[in-house]
Amino acid sequence: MILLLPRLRRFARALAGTSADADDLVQATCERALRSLGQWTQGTRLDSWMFRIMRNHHIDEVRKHRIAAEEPLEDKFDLTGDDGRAVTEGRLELASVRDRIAALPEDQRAVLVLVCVDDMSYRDAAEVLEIPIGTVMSRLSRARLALMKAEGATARREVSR
Amino acid sequence: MMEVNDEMLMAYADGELDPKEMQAIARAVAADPALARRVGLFRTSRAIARDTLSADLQDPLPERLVAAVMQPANSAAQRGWATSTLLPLAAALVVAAGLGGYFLGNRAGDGVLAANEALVTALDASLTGETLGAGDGAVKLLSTFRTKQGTCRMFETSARKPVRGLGCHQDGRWHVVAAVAESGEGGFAPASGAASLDAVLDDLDAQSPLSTAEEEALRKNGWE
Repeated sequence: MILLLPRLRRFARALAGTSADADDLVQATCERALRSLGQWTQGTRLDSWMFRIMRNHHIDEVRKHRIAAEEPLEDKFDLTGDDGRAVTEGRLELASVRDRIAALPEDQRAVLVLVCVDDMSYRDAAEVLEIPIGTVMSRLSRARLALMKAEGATARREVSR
Repeated sequence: MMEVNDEMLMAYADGELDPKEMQAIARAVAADPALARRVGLFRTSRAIARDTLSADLQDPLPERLVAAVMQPANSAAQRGWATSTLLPLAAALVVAAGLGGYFLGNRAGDGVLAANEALVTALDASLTGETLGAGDGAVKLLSTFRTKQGTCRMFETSARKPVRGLGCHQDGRWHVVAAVAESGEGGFAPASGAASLDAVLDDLDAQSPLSTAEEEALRKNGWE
């Protein structure tokens, strides 16, 4: 599980936006997973199972916040993760891709990370997110076209940073 | 007739279509440069997303997260493998997803991976320093240890995402008890990577690496 932590954090950032929120999410996920380890089916993917726990926990949290603040969390994305470190020239392009990823709707970002970065199959990603494969594909294709700023991508609003 | 839309082109780029569809799209793409460019967009997008976000894996892990995982879990008591070897539960539950397709479909229970065929061959046949296979399937043996889990061998694969792992010989077969993906920039992330394999070795009471002569003797004996 400890070897999964970096990937859990990355997925958490895709969901939660800010690094601090993401780490809270990872911690809550690990605690929940350890408590309910008996529910994990042997022989199935531990990573998928934990990603699913994370996503469900995140949805719960977002619901709580929505009730409390009635302000959607949409605009909180901060995937830059620079922690004030100097941005060297080499990082500039990286940063612009990051910005574009950060500007994606959360649903699309989650699929993008699972499939393109974590190399999950569409089916595995669909299981983690508990959505149909068709939905995985439509979100993923929109996300990737947006990343490439390609014509024909369903126009998505840019989220201000 | 089949309509070729973006999602199909993407699935084609990702290798997610069935063989018949793959062929059909391949023909359509070969005949139409516009479609080919579209497929290129999907391929490139995957690469840049991966390159950009892979860097995150190198970020040092905060102590509190490591602590959250390493806390003693009572539910571990029922889990045979983890407790029988006294490995911390977290270290025992290692998953090889993210290791490319290398181990896919080869999972055994308890989070321990059954090693796949190429890997098994390498673990069986190679001495430390030797590489078996070529290209994506190559496996290099790095070291061999005697542990309380039997003979364990550290290996490295040269798949698209290199993986370093630890295979242990138990009950007549190899099990991958730990594996860690390369972090991206030519190193194994110290916070989560190589250091963790070392931690697993410590938990297994591994002694110092075996000499070539000792390895050869063990190999003759089926690694028992």
